[in-house]
Amino acid sequence: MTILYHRPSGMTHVLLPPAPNILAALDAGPADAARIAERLGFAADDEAVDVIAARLAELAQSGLVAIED
Amino acid sequence: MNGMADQQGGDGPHGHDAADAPAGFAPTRRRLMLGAAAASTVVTIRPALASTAGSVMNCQVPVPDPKLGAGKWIDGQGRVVDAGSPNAFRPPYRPLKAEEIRRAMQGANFPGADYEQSRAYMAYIRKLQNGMSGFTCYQSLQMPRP
Repeated sequence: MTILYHRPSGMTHVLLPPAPNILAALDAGPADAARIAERLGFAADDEAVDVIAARLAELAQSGLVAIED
Repeated sequence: MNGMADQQGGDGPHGHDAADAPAGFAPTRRRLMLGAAAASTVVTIRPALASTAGSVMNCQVPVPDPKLGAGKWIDGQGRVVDAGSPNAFRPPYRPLKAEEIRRAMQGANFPGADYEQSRAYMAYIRKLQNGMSGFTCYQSLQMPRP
């Protein structure tokens, strides 16, 4: 479990895997779900990409990641 | 750099699993780390702000914050842009009411706004930061109510 304080919003978030892993994977730069899956060792794994995409949407909803065009 | 290099280099949080675990075990362990698509993994603890239902439902969020400049529009990502910018929308003619925002958070459109416009306004609202007009209102809306 990871506790994250988001300074811009003043909100605290409790993150369970794989949310912290996804944030860590984004340290290497912006990426889509497929690229993040690769970074986490799930290359060519469609099911993993679907799960990561769902988690990304959740992180975006929480304001912890920004979705670009 | 490709994904395999990331993995073998151990850069990722679980990059060393494959090396540590017996054959056939690592994929399961990795799969457990991922969980199911429907399993929520982010729980937000809201600050202790105004908590009565009355104050929550009476507050408003100006879109955009008047401090950011008059006549600005909102683009699809919730950014405040110059009027007439491509892929941007006119702001609502009045501040958005808490109840409207609450409904929009559940997928509804704002009055007089279409789907894309409503999502743009919500994107702006989600980006609000402490000190910006409407921030406290939005935070209050996200708190569980009795």
